[in-house]
Amino acid sequence: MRDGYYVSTYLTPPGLSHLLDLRARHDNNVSLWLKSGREVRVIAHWPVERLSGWRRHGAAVPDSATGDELVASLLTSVGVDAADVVEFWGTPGIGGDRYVDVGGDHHDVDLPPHSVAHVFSCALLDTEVAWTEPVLALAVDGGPDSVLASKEYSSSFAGAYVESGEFTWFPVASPARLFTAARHRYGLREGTLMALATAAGCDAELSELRDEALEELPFTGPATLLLVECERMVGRMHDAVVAAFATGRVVADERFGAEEQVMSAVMKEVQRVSLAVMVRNVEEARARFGFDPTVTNLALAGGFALNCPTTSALMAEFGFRRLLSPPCVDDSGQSLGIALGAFHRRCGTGFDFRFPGAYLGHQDGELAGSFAEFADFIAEVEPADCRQVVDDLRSAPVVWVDGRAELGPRALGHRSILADPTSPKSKDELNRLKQREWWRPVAPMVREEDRAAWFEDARPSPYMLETFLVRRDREARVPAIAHLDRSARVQTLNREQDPFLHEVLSVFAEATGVPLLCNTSLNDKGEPIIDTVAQAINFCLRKGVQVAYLNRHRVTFKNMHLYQEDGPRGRTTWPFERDEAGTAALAGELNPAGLDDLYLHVWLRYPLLRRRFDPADRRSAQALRRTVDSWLATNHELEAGIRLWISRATGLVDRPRERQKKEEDHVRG
Amino acid sequence: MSEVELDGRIATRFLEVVAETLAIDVVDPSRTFQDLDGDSLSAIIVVETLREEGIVASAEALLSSEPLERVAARLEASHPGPR
Repeated sequence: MRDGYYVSTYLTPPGLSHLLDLRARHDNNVSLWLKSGREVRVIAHWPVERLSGWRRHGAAVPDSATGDELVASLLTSVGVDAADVVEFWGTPGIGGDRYVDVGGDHHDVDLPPHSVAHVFSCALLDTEVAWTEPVLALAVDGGPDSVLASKEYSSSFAGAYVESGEFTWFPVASPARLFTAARHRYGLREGTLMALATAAGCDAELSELRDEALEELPFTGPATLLLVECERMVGRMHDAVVAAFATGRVVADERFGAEEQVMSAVMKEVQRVSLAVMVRNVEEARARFGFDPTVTNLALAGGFALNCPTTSALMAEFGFRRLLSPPCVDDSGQSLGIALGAFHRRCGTGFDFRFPGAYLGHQDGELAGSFAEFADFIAEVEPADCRQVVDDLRSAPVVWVDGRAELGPRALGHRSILADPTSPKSKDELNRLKQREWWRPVAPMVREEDRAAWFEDARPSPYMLETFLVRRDREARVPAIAHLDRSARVQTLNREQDPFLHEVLSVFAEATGVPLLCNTSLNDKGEPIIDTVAQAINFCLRKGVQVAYLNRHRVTFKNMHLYQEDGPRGRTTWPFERDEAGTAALAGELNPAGLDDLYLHVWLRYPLLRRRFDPADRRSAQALRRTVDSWLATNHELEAGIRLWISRATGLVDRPRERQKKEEDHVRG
Repeated sequence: MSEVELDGRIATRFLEVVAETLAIDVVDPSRTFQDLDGDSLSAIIVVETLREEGIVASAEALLSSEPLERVAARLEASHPGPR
């Protein structure tokens, strides 16, 4: 394998997905790699949502040329010329004749490439570990995309047991679809629902339904069928909880509304089933491979790995040696997994890689320009000083932008709002800034060396992927951070990871005796994490945040009442914009037979149809239509499942304005 | 040794289409369609492809638990033609 730059992309492929406004993949991302001899490094990683401002970005570019232009602009931002890239991986249609299909199947694995990439993203987080110690890797998420799939897989979720760098693959069970089903039912995101589970006290204890779910639901997939079953199960849990409230069997928690109490009780059951599914995964793997957990590493990826209580319960119950998970465990880490899988396939154990930490994103170099743009609103700019930071924190939350952005869904101190955990007001103030419900907890950041003094059995948790209990004797000191059950989602921070912020924690500890800060992501409701200084200033001015630390400058504001903008600052959306003329031209080219959208969706979704038919060819398009018609006629449940899937995959996540318009039309219609 | 004749034109073409559809090099005719990871969609694709060539097969037969050689033999028998 040649030395040089490699680019892996996890984008919704150009063309038909753009025409259909289909998010064939979500959490699109791109990463840049450099191989020199044995050494492999990841140079940069870009989640596309930070660029576009569309949460969990899944919108496609119209064509390959636009996609290549987008990728080239990202590379330019770190001084790399796209012409110098040896190969492009991950998204057909991106990278021209240097695109190489490496993310697809390999012969011995009957599992979706998507889930296999998740496994690589965690199992190979540190190759020194993977080449010398046993690793149990589990990829658990809602389901695979089918872009690189070559067939339908009977199992949707991958696991691997790794010994001396040799992967033995097996299917695993994923509980994530239960959360998807709950999100669909309640219209709240998974994280919010989980927070609600612990925030309210009500518990219906549905042990029979729980056992049934555990025994009956097809947790290994296929994911489409699993979703239908999970929606049914969550519906039954909901009805059972409502009935339990009606008979007075559940103790009400009057601080919450009726609907919130029901959701809390349902989510408690969902969480219990989910943990049991994960424990069963580990036990089955242990029975098969006979490993000793105390010398084995647990590697987790897939969106469900964001479920911190489950991860911590697995670590505690089995006593695994360490947890291997990148900060981008969800699909925003797919480009990592695609690349690491490619290096492993090409080089076996003949390469070395160590994940360098979360701060691999965009660095905003436009500081002076942004200060000039907002000159009318900036009172003062001075160099940052740790003692001043601590004084500022003790009076109000501060906005914090520093260096390269962290990857993954959690802010880790480079795009954060920081606050004083000793003040009970902090939580309310942070929830106000972010327009969140009053009961949403706020996560703590703690100096790594102090973790054991403040949290029970705390392990290093640099990416905020574990929860620990606040020690009883410390609880009263940090009222802003703990859930009702004393659990807290902890980020541990050492000097090596971020010397400046570590120093701030130290000075804060000198002043207060508490080496912790509240840390929440810097973004408004409905907006992904803020990327640039200008976006951060817009946030401060709209929200009345008095002090921001922007790339080590202390910035204070004035004339806030005169600021006119009432929403987040627009971001870079040109590569993804849709217009009538453009889509009409695309339709003429890609769908000359004028097939109904349903056929195009099904064609995109099923690798078998993609291999067999080409909608851009009129004759082939007619054969496709006949085939799909005959297929759907055999199974009405299938058609319902496909229509459900299409409605979920279009217009759900991003393009807020368009979504709003759709909803309005729906109401009118 | 297979128990039925598979060298007829129809049977040969049938096994070819199964192989193409399932993306495998050579079909073992003693196995069932589902043994080879065939599902309802691939069965329909086989049926539609054959139909375009004037060969009438059914998805139900493909998805039954019969070995492919039997399905092939029955197809051959139901399409009398030049040998």
